[in-house]
Amino acid sequence: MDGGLLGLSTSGGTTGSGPRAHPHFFSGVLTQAAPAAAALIGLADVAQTRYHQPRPTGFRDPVVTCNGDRLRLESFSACGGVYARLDVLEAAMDGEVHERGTTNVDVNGPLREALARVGGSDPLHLAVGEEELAVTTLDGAVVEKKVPLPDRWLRGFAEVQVITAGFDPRAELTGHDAVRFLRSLRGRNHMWAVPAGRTLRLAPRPAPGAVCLAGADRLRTMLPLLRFARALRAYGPSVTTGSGPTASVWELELPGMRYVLTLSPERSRGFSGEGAVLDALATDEAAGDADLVGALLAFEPRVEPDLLAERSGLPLDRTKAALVQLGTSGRVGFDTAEAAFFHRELPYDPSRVAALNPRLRSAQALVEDGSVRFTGDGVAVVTTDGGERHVRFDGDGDAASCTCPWWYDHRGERGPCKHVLAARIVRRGASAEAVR
Amino acid sequence: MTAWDDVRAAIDAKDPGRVMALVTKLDDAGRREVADALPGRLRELRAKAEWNVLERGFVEPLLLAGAGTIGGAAAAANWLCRRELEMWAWRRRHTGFDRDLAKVTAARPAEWRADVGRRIADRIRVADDRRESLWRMAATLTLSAGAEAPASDGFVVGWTVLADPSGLADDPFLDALVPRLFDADGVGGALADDEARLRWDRDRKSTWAEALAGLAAAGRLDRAALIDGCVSRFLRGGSPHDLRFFVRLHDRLDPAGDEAAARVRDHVRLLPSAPSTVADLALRQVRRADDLGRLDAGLFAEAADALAFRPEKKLVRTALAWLDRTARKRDRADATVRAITAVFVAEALDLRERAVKIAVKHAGRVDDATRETVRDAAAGLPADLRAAIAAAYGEVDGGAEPAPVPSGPPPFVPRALPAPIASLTELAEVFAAQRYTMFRWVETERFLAGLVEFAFADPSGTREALRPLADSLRGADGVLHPATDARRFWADHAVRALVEPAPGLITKVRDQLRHAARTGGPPLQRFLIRRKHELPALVGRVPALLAAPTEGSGHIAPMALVERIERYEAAGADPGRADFVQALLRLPRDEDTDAAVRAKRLTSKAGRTLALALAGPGGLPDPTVECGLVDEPLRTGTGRPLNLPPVGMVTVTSTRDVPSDLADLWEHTAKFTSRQNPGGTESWPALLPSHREVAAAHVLPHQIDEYEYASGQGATALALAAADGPAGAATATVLAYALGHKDARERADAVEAFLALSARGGLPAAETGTAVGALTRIDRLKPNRAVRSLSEAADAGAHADVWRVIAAALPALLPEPGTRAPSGLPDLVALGTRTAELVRARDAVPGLAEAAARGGSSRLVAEAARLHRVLTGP
Repeated sequence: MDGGLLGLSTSGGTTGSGPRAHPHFFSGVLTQAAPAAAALIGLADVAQTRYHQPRPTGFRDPVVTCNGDRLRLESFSACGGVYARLDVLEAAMDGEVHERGTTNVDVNGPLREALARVGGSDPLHLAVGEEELAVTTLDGAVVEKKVPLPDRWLRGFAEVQVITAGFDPRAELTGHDAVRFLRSLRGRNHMWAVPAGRTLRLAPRPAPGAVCLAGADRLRTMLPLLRFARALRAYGPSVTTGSGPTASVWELELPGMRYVLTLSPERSRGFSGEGAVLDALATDEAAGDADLVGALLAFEPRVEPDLLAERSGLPLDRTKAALVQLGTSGRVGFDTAEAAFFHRELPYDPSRVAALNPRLRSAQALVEDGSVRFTGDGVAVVTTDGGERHVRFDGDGDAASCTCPWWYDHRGERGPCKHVLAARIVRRGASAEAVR
Repeated sequence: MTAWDDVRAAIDAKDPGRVMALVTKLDDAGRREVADALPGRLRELRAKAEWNVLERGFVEPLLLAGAGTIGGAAAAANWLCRRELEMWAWRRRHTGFDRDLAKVTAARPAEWRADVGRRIADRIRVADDRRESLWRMAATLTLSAGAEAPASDGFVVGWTVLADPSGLADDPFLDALVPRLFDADGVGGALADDEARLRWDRDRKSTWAEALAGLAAAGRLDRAALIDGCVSRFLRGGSPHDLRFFVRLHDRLDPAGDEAAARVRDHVRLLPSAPSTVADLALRQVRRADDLGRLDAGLFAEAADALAFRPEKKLVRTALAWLDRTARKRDRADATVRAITAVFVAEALDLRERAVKIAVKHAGRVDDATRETVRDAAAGLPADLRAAIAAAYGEVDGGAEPAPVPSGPPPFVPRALPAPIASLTELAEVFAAQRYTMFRWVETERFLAGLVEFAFADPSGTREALRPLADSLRGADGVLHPATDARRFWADHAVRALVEPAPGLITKVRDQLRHAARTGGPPLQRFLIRRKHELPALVGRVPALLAAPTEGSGHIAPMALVERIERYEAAGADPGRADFVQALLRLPRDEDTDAAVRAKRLTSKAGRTLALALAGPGGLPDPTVECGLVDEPLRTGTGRPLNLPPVGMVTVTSTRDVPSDLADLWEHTAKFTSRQNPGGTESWPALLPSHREVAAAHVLPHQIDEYEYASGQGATALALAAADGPAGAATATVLAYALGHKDARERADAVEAFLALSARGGLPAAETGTAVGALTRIDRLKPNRAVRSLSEAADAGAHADVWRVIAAALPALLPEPGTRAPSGLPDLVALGTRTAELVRARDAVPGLAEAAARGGSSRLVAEAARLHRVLTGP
């Protein structure tokens, strides 16, 4: 880009110095206007697409976080199965940071049009505020009103962070190979991308080093960005030949920014129902630590656990556990590219996350009804409408299995079932009493 | 008598006319009384109705009574939009309901009518079965109030669906809604069938695109606003389907050169990422502006770069022609040549050649910087094209042709089996799980092995663990019926024998066994049934399941089998006959001297047999397998190919004597048709893991399906690839069919099988090519699908084997002069060129030279000539 300018300033939302009426997070110029505009359209496309059982939707609100040296814009697909994030890095920003904080903006028709017109060396000015977003291009200004975010996004933010925190880089494709690979993707089948030479090969079965690609069409918002692409990186958990589907992270490197898509393990699975946070939610242990650590976060681009441990006076392992706990309410996100947490404050009440979770609610109802009965050490019978379910704990740990059909379908891949959760809550209560 | 009593009587009489007459005469108090009573009456009427569905006749009186009496606009809109008061479209037209609605509300204030209309319009959803009725009510009220058209997207979409385009000039909503066509969500989708609708809808005399363009031409609509609307809709993006109408409208408006030039910047910005139909249109506009000299250098460079990067071949070809033709005239050879270097890395060989030709043509008019760009970009070109560039631009660096990446197929990684079942609790869990999930062979074998072990070591414990789960097992007769197919109820059988052994059960099994062996079905299926019926007699009596595999391919480690037999001898147990035979079949082909030595110490009959099998190489002799496909399709009198059996014939002939249990498997002849599906063959190769070709011969008759249903053809090929032993025509035919399967999932599995065989050095490449040719000739395989699979295999590194397959397939596929080539053949030849180039093949392909020399401009001839050049190159 020859000196392309994209001016961007955000205002409003939740900031480092507490909620304020009309603060400006950032105002300045993005040096890479065309890719930034194209990537913003990509985020909006993700937000309004229902990949599983497609039908028209109206959501299109990325969440913007200013972390000081970078801006992060995040959104979920309407089906909840794709999480998209655009990280605009320092190299692509030329301006002043007034404040750090989070808000959400609307990308609707007129704004899309304005963004699509950005190219070559055109300037573009964006202003994001508490209640509105203003975009100024060569053709004039567009002002958009903010709309409310769906609740399942909150659950999604929490799940994505917990799920991807354990991912490692698995493959890197440079320029032309990345273009070829992404353009060759067809269809909605569930595949595994296996590193092969300089590129990736799609195989029907997992192999060590492979990254799950559940529905190649869910990467299609990357296609319009290919002309700016410098590299494609894939992240995932370590898999073996017998692994089931997993989530995966796909990161497209653009000049001065990264466009990241996180895919759920299967097309039909939204992140909000993955249940990865349930283990953490069921405990109260880390909650106190999380409050302490949460108060120390200041919209850092990289949250350093060492530093936090020092400042909070907590041991390192408890600090890390507290970060995961904060993630369960969406207050920190995880950046696979830098393998680091970052701080954001979502425009929700974080304490609602527990109340939002239907499985946890059902489990608590089972406990309150007295449906959980321990018949032996590590074996519980949970009485439900559908008959008796047997929950078995492996040793002293929290790992457990159940005899309900849901468990057979998912084998813990989507978190514990309500019976296991209920048994766990009862067991913890019992051991706490025993200690007393 | 109150107001309500009269209205109620009229409603009950299903008389809308009387309801109107009564309602319009009411005063405020009367209206309020009726409005308050209506919901209750609706409830009563519904309660009385059958199925709780309101009788149709009450709908209009109720709607009109509500419209005439309910005070608040929100409440009135709610009433009119109630689901139970929905009117069918034909009835609404038939009864003139909308006229009545206007009449009954005529006395209400205009603002009220406008408000109700707007509220109803807000409820119209783009994809809603009630769209028509809601839209008509909203339109009626809005018009009678003389108000502005409601702003909701649903109202605009409803308008495009319901208004008659040929009467648009007099349409009351025309001026208000035309601008909204371009920004309301859902309009594109609703008008996508604008043109198609003309063919099926007799009421339509014109399309929207035509009507709007006509009104613009007549000066009734603002032409510039329509064109701008289309362009802004393109910029907003969307699927080709959603944009189709706007492309047509734009074509109809046919912007003049000046109009195109005024919007040229927007059109250039559409080129990089708009759908191909829109990019096509944008390119035409850009060229039109260029013809007027209104495309500046900056925009030209942007346009050229964007076009060279497009994935659509057609668009790139058009763009190349444009760039070539205008480079000299507009004095922009530098920008042109710089842009087309992006095409040097194109996938399509013909585009690469074209780009090189253009670069060479303009070589004389470019500056030094551009010359260097071209030289750099040319480094990755094949030798002949590189030479052409070098001749015009000077020496090209990186003379060595790049090595193929990756250089070979990925290493074969055998599947690991899940660990054996470790505890009784786990056994119970797996048993319960099996009843919720689909049958999977690996899990069934794992469960059976666990069951046999635990039932011997701890019979009462196992019985207690499984009893609570065995309540719902089917009755003894059902369990043992020989017709029960080979895939189901294995676990139920065995568990039942342990938990509630019925008197005489074992004897009954033996009787049934004899019957099962006699009944038809493929030999491998009969073999499975024998094993299944033997199992109840083994549970609790033997210390281990002999046939339980230890490898993912189905093999058993020899030492593991020796150990199992030792445990049998220690327990004094006799092995089950089918179990033992299956175990022997699962011994690997490689010798294992340690196991052979240890087996010599075995004393039982089974032990001695095992020792003998382990003593020499090879185990069971490999039979001869022949596989023939019918060469020509059967045809009807009119020449139409018939999908009639047989497609081919497969014969297994034993070369030496084999045990009588295997006679069925080792001596087998089957004609195969397309109607023999025993319900999945994925598990069969694991029954004969050391005799791949024999397994393939038994599998083949069940692969080819008339309707190309996906029934695990790819998974079967993959299991064959994981097995061991020689591979020949039968394996090749199974693979070829799966490579060209309709279902993408089957193809993906087949590619995996191809790569596994290739990596293990066991791919019958020539036979696979022959099978591709033969299956195509009898119309059982579509080469275009096979090309996709093969190019994936080539991309993954199996270039050499892909080339061998194509070389063997081409002689049967290249058409005789005067006959049509099968679809996808040019792509197959192009893939042949790509792979032959990579492996520097110099093979002779019969018929290729003739096809290449045929002349003409068909793509097949061009591709054949290119392949011929590569094969006869230096």
